[in-house]
Amino acid sequence: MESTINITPASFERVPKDLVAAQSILRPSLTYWKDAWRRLKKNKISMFCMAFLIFMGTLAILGPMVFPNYSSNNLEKTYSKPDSVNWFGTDDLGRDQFARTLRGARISLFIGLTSAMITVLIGILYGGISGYFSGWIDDIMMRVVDVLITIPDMIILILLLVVLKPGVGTLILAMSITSWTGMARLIRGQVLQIKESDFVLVSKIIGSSSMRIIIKHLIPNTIGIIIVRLMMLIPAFIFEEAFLSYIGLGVRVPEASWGNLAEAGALQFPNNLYMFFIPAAFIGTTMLAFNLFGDGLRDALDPKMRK
Amino acid sequence: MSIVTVFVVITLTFFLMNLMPGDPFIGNKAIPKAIKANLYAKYGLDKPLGIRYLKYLGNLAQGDLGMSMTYKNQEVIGVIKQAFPVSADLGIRSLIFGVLGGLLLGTIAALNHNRPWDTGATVLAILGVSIPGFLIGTMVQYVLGFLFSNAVREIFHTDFQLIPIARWEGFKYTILPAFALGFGSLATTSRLMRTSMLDVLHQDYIKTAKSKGLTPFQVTLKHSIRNAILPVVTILGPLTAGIMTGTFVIERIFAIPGLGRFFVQSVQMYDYTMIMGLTLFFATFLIFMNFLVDIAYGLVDPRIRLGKGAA
Amino acid sequence: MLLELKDIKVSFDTYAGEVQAVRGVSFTLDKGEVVALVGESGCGKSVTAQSVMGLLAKPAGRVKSGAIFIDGVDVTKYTEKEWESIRGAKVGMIFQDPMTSLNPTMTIGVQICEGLIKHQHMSKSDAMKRAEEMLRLVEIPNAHERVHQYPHEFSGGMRQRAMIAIALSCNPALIIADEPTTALDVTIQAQVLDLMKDLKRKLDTAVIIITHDLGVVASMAERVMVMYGGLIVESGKLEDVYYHARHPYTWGLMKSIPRLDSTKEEELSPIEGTPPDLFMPPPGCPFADRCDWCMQICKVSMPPKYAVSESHSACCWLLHPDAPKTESPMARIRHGMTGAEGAKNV
Repeated sequence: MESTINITPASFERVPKDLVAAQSILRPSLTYWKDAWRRLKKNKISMFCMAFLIFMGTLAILGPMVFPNYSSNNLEKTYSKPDSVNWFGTDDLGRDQFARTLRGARISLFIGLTSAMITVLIGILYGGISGYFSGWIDDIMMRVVDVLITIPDMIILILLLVVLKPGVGTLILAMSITSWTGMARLIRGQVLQIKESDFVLVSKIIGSSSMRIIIKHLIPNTIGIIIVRLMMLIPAFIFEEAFLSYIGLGVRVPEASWGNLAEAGALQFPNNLYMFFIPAAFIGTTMLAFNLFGDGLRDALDPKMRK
Repeated sequence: MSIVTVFVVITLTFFLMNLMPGDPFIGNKAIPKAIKANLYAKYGLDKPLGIRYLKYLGNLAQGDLGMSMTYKNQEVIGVIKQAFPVSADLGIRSLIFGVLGGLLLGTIAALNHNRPWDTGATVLAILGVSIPGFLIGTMVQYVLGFLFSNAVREIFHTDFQLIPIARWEGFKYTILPAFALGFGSLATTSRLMRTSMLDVLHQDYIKTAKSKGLTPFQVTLKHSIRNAILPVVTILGPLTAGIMTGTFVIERIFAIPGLGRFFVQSVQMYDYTMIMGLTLFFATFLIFMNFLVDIAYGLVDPRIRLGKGAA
Repeated sequence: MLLELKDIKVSFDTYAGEVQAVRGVSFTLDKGEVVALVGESGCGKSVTAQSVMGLLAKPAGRVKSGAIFIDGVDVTKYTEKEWESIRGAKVGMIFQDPMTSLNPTMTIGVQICEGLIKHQHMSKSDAMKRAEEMLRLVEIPNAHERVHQYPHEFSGGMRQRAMIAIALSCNPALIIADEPTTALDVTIQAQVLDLMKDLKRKLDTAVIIITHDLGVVASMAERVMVMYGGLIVESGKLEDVYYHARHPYTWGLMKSIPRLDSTKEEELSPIEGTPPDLFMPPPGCPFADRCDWCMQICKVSMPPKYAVSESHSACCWLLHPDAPKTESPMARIRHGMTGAEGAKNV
C-alpha cells in the first residue's frame, strides 16, 4: 500500500489539532417551524388538501354572497334536474340547490370551525389549569372529567337538542359541551409531561418566571398537538352535524346545511339522485381533505420524524 | 364508579325531559280540558317534579320504564325487549367485521410499510374515517341494489337482486347493513393497529426475538401483534358507542326493525317516555360495555393485571 | 477458527445519502475466546456485531463488501431462512437494555422456550423444564416460580440474567454481548460480569463484548480491539493494549479513566472534540482532527496496519519507519500522571 502513497519527509510534519473541523455539523439546522413547513411542503397530498380546503373556505365565505337566494321557493319548478338555470337542480319547494349548497358550505363549515375552537378553548383552559397546578385541584377536575367522559356523547347531544330548539347556535353549544373533555385530557397530559421534563427543570433552576416558562416552553410544545387536533376535530363536527340533521335534530329548513341537504336527498332516494349525491360528495370530500391534511400536519410537526 | 355515572345519567335525563317546553299532547286535534286533565293524571304529570322523580326511580327499580305516549298500550320495556336483539345482532356482526378486518388490514399495512399494501390500506382507512357511515350505507344500497337490479333488468330482463337491501329476514339481509355500519370501525381500527404495529416493530424485544432465530411469522404473531393489540382494546369502548349510534341511521336506511329506528322515531314524535326510556337503556348499556372493556384490558396486559411485581 | 471477519464494510442508505458505519473491519475469533470491541458511541461496534447476526436494519443497512465466516461458512451470502437456523443456535446475542429487550406480554419461561422449541425441537413441557434449569444456571432464586412470571416482575439485574439465559439456552458457540452492563447499577454490573465469566468457563462459549467501559473490558476480555470512525485502530491482547498501547486514540482513552488516587486538583482529561460524521468520512485517519500527534500525512491518507508484536497491531502513521520517534505516554499514564503533562510529547 505504501507504494501508492507519496511519502516525503514533509509528510511527517506536525499539524495542530483541528477541533473546529472535528465538530463541524454537516447538515444545516433549521428552526422547528421552518423544518415543519419544509416537510409539509414536501407532502404533495397535504398541500393539495390545503389548497382544496382554502378553496372550500372561499366558497363558503363568498358563495352565498354571490348566490344569495337559498330560501326562495319556486313552486313551478320543483324537483328539477340540474340545468343551466339551476346548476344543481331544485328541491321539493323549488329552491335552487346550488345556492343552498353554497349556503350549506358556510353553515356546516361555520358550525364545524366554531365548535372546534370552543372545544379547544375550553379544553386548554380546563386542562391547562388542571395540569399546571396539579395536586388536589388536578384530582378533582379530572374526576369530574372521568364521570363526564363515561356518559355517552350521542345521548347528551340528542337530549339537549330535543330539549332546546334545534338550530345553529344550539348545535354548536351541544357539540362543544360533549367534546371538550377529550381535549382537556389531552392538554392536561401534555402540560404534566412538559412540566416534569428536564428542559423545564433547567429553566426553573436558572430562575425563569412561571410566565416565561409558560410562554417559551409550554406553548410551543403543545401548539403543534393542538393544531393537529383542531384539524381532526372539524371533520368530526361536520360529521356530527350531518348525522344529527339526518335524524332530524340538526339544522332546520329553510336554513341549509350539508347535513340537512343530504337528509332531504335521502328521503327521495332513489329518485332525484342529485339531491343526495351532491351534498354527500361535499361532506365526504371536505372531511377527507381535513383528515388528510391533519395527518400530514401531524407528521410534519412531529419532532421525532425529523430526519 | 360506573354506577355513579348511571345514576347521573338517569337524573340528567329525567330533568332534561321534564324541562321540555310544550306539551306532549299538542299536535293532535285539540283536546278538551277535562280529558287533558285525565291524561295528565294518568301519566302522573300533575304531581310536582320531586315526587315524579322519586316515583320514576321507584318504577325503574322494578324494571318499569313507563308507557309510550304515541303507541297505545305499548310498554317501553316491551319495545326494548323486542327491538334490542335485532340491533344487538346487527351491532355484533358489524363489530366483528370492523375489528377483525381492521386488525388484519392494520397488520398488513404495518408489515408492508410504505409499499403498495400499506398505501392501499391507508387509503381505505382514510375513506372509512372521512365518509360518514350513513352515506356509505345509502350509496352501497344504491349501487348494489338499484343500479345492479336495473342493469340486470335491462340486460337479462329478469328481476334479480344480488344482496337484499332492506329488511331483516335472514343472513343475506345482514351483509350490507353490517358492512355499512362496521366500515367506520374497520377504518379506525386499522389505522390504530397500523400505528401501534409500527411502534412495536421498532421495539428492542423484536430484535431479541429475531436473534433467537424465529421466523418472521412467529415474530409477528407472538411478539408484534400481541403487543400491538393493546391500544386497540382500549378503543373498543368508543367503538361500541359509535356502532350503537350508527344503528340509528343504518336501521332507518335499511328498514331494519331495531331499537335505533325506534329511538329516532320517538325523538321525532316527542314521545317523552320512550325517549327517556330508550336513552336510559342505551346509556346504561354503553356504560356497562365500557366497564367490560376495562376488565378485558386488564386481562390482556399482564402489567395491568399483576401491577408492579416484587423484585 | 470459529469466526472470521474479512474487510467488512457496512453502509446505511438514508435519504441524505450513504452513511458508512463500518469501513473495513477484519478480525478472527477462536472457540472459547473472549474478545472486546471498545469505542465511543457511533464508532461502528454495534453495527459490526449486528452484521455478524444478520440483524442489520433492512432495507437501509447492508454489508457493502467483505465476508463473514462462521465455522467456515460465509454468512453474508445467507438467505433469511439460513440465518434463522443459526441465530440462537450458533450465535446468540445479549442486548443492552433488559427493560425493553424483553417482551412485556410473555412470561420469561416462554421467552426462553422459544429458542429451545425451534432449534432443539423440544416439546413445550421439556422446554419449560430446561428453561427452569437455565434460570437456575444464571442464579435466579425461586426459578420454579419465576419461570412463569412476566418481565416487569423482575428487577433490572434479574432481567439481564434472564436475557443471558435466553441467549445461552441453545448453547451457541458464540455470544455477542452488546453493552450488557451499561444499563445496570454498578454493583449489579459486577454480579452480572462474574456470572458471565463463570458461564463462559462452564460452557466454553466464545464471547464478543461490545462496550465503551474499559473497566468491563479489563475484567473479562482476553483480547481487545479498539474501534474509531468505523475502523479498528488498535488490536491486541489485553496487556498489550492496556499497558503498551501505540495508537493516540487508545492513549486518550486510557488517560481519560479517572483514578481513585488522583487528587482533587487534577482535572479529568477527556479527549477533546467529537467523532467524525460517517456521512462524509474524512479521507485520512479518522482520528486526525483530534489527535495531538497529527501529521500532514495523517489528514491525507489512511494509515495501514503496523504490527507492534506478534499479537499486537495498530493503524497509525507514527509507526511508520520514517516517522519521528515518539515516546509513548503510557508509562506516565500508568503512573497516574494525567493532565497536561501526559500530552507534552515529541
